[in-house]
Amino acid sequence: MSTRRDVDRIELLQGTLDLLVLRTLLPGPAHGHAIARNIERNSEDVLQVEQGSLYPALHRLIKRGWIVAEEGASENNRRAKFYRLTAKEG
Amino acid sequence: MIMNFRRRMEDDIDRDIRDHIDMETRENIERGMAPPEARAAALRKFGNPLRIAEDTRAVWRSGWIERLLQDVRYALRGLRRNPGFAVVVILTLALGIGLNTAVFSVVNAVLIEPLAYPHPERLLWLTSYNKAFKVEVAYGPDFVPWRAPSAMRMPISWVRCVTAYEIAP
Repeated sequence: MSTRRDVDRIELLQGTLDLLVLRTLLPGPAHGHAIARNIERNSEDVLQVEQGSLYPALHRLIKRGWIVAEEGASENNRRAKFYRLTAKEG
Repeated sequence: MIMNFRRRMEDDIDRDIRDHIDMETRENIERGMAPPEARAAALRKFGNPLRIAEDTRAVWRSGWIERLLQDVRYALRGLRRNPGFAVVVILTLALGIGLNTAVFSVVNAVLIEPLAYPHPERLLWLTSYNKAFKVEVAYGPDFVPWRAPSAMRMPISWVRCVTAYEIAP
């Protein structure tokens, strides 16, 4: 059973992670691993726990229509899924 | 269409997670780790892939229908664990619903629906009142004046039973 306070805290943490993802995608599309690496480098503790928590965040943003996922090729020419900001604002 | 998109997103999750861990593993190898060690480190850094896949799917399944079904399944499990309680609950509900239906069907037929006689709007309830016994009762002799053509605004056409009768138009 989680208390109201815990829920607030989790939502705040999720919101922070969502914003970090959006900021990382600002310069252009990136695949999941690159986003995780970038956020790790630029934030102290949000993604320090585990890289995997990035994926629920990515899917939350897709569900809200803020980003989209596309198939593409990574830097060493391997298949990868790229995430891109959508054109629509707000 | 939207369902298909959701299904595809959910199906892709396992592959995306695998790709992610592969990429981290390769980077670790490039940094000089032995392959098994590199893979273990990548997994450690990623977290539990099964749990993360589940959390990611939950993003698409957090609709009210899913939560409702979850509650229903939980309730059914609880009932199965406590068969005695389940029987009492089911009997109570059955009895309550049955009684309600029975009483309502009587109320409906008697008070709400028009009575099953021709011209039910012309049916009256006519009776004598006995003050001593506080009861509505009509004795045989009462009917004699009631049936006289002059007694009512409109003549009585027939007596149906002890207290109810119809008056002619």
